[in-house]
Amino acid sequence: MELTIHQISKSYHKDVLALDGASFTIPTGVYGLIGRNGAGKTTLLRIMASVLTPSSGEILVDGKPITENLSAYRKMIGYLPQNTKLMPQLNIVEFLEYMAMLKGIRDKTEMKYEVERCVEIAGLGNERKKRLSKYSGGMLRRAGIAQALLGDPKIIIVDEPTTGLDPEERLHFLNLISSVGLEKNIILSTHIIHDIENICPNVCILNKGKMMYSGSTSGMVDSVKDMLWEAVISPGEEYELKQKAVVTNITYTYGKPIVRYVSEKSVCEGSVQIPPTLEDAYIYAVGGVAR
Amino acid sequence: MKFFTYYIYKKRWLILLAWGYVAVLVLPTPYTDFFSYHESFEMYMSFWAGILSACILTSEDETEFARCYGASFPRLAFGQWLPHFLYPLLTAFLSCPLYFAFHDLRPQGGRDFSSLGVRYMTLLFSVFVTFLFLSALMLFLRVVVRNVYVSFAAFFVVYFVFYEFRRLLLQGVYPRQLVACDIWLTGFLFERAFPVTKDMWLGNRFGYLILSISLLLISYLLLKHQQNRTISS
Repeated sequence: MELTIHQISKSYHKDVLALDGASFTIPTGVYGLIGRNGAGKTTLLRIMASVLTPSSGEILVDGKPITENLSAYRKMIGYLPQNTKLMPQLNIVEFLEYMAMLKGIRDKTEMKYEVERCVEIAGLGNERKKRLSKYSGGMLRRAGIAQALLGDPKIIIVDEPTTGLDPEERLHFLNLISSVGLEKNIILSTHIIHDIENICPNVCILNKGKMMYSGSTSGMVDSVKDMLWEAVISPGEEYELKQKAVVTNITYTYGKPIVRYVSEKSVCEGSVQIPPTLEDAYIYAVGGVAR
Repeated sequence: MKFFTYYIYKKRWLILLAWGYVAVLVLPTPYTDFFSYHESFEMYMSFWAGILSACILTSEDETEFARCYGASFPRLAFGQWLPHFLYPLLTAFLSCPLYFAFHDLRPQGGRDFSSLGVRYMTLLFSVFVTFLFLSALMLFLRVVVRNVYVSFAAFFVVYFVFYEFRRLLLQGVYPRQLVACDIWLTGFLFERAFPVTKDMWLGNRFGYLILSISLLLISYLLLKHQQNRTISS
């Protein structure tokens, strides 16, 4: 299945443009959406989840606008909003039963089967009786994914799921997303570049509501190939360097700044070319580190 | 707003406060007369009941899911509520005889409510209609309107109109009973509408049932005690 975002714009209160003509195509697999806080990621995801109406533009599934049959589209999606609390007083089974009801799964046998299936996929089989309030952050995110998987939707929309998770929980969650994403269209929004690097073959970058890049993750990295340099400079030279090139990172070792920058040519003495990462490419695409 | 929601959500004692108010209305305390003759206070408390109800509107997460999955008003209403519908009605039905044991609902210059059957049915009708009405209103606001401030305002306006209309309809049945019912029903709305509040009432629904019956029983015994003292003196 192919999901196409076509010229989507969204404005609030006339003059606040949250999204400005975003267009890209989401193939099967995990698709990454990255951008700074306030870049328009959540707005876009909420539009894709049909919770928000765009000011202009449309979303197409296999070439057909979703507005032609919105209820059918809604049956195709699973959605995990940002920072959702997931009803802490319930245990996972009760919570999923309620969500199944919201999704329109009425047949009790089907509901029971779906709940069990999703509990197992999320790896929460041993935590059935525990209330969600007792779950760790990672378990809560997995519970969130479990509800998104109810009814076997084709499209799964996940908004910043790894924020605040410890490394182990984060990895566990990403593995889960990755395994689920083999046959589905998963849209994963995050501002953690490493999450995208690890599991998303395709990526879209948003900055201030505008789409800066859309395509393969490797292509994104290649966009700064042979353009990334590293140099040890003297303290105080950072500002001068920022005027000449896009600085992607500065670290200080023994008081000396070590700078990574993107430029077609070396702009300071002693620069050596190094292989770029997605983070370098991203910082370059959004015009440097925000201050 | 979020702070208030958090408060309601986390602090069960607020719900118990509502119960305290019901108790003040029901129990023959020195304050009963004061509350009886100050309708403005009752109106204020009714609004407070409304606030309690409207606070549920801020449960954005659930609404977000509901909208995304196309869970319409009826699906939310009947899928989640209908199985629980009988329970509050049953409680109300059981409690009514006790309620009437110490409340004279005879109006002044209004319809004659002296027949127990008529009184019983009137209050039950009021309970039922209020429950249906507030449930429908709250669900409508949550799922359709969504904007919490608009919903808040709408709830107050509609509730106020409903309150006055009901008073007119019942031709002077003392409003304090009705206000007590409202708060009582608000509690049900809280518990039944949203599974997040599942165990608010002392752990579970039976806790609530026990609390309901206990309160009414205590008030009945106190009244009897008071009557005996009056007779003996």
